[in-house]
Amino acid sequence: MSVDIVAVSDATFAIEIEQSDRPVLIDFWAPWCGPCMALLPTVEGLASVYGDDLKVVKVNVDENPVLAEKFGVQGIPNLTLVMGSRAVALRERSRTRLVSEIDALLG
Amino acid sequence: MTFQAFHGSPTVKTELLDRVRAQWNARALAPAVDLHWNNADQPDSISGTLARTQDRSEFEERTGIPADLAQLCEFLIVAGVRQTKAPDTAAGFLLEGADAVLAFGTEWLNAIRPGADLSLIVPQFARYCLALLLDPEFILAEHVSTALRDVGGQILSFWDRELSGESLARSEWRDVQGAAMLATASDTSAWGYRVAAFVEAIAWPVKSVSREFVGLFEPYLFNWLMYLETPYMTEAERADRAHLLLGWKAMATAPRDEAGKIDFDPLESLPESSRVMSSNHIMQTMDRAEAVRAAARSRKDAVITALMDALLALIRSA
Repeated sequence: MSVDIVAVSDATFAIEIEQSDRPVLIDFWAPWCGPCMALLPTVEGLASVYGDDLKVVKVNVDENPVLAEKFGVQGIPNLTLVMGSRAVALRERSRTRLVSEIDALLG
Repeated sequence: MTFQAFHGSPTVKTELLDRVRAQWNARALAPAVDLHWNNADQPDSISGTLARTQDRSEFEERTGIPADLAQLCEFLIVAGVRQTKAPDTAAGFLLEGADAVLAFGTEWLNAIRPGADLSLIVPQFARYCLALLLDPEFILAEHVSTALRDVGGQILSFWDRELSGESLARSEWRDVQGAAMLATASDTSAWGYRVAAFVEAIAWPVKSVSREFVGLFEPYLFNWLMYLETPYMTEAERADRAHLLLGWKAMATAPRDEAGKIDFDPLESLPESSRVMSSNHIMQTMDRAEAVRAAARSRKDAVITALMDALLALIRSA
């Protein structure tokens, strides 16, 4: 199972995240970050679980420092759930726990 | 994607394996969980060399082998070898390990029948590992709680239904996932935490676990292999190891705020864990830890080669 996750940049943030009519899960990552690469299959798994109910995007923090700064990303990997004007950094890292955490936040 | 190993061609298999065999036998390839090929920062991996790519999709297109399977095979080798830097050698590193572990580097490729569909091998291996975990004779059995054993049994039964073609409702899985999280939360055994975390993380349809499997299996196998060292430890060392595991658990499960930060020291209430996790303690016990690892090496190799044999049997049956 492989899911394509849209890459978002500083330039496309407004369209892909700010104007999204669905909650958005942002995976802040960098290609040199081993834990980020290890988390990628889990993020893809989440995209499959939620289908159209959740938009899953990724942001390369090296190429998009403005977005990382905007969301206060101090370390990666960082998964942030954006629901309208509210953004919450997720603390869990396994798919089972992340789904539980996301479900609780989405109500 | 439909998989047909080596595109059904013995000639393609020979051609691709020829790229790997001589280099692997010369120990010029470094097994790695990720595909490494022609990368300035990393030596080439077996699978990267096989398909001459670092890209998963390209790997699958060129070989007809699921990248998840290649990743799993290389991971098992990584778990059983030691790689050290050796700037004076042509490869720039030395690879040490038992012959049986190193032989797997090409055995898994030799075992693949051209044309075989290997898409279910990782799910079947995941099922094998879960069944092993639930076996009352499993070496960590005393650290598998009754609640966790019940959840594991449910997952196994769901996987069997899935592998026989039945589809399960999302609600059925939600119940199992909830029970798995409760079982993990109530587990107080130092050695049981990573077992419970593994079971909890795989509480999903087995085909969907395939992509994540190595990442989930790695800490569990690491925990299992560490446990094999305990007979070679003194009583005090075994107690220290338990404190270390409880410290790791406290760090991993500490509540975080909305920015993802931990605003307290998770080890504050665990002074013994704090002591054994200090750099001072680690430095002081380094030689002794190395001696224990060396003493347990053959037991670890036996576990790893048994896992390799199980995987080879699945590959050959495809």
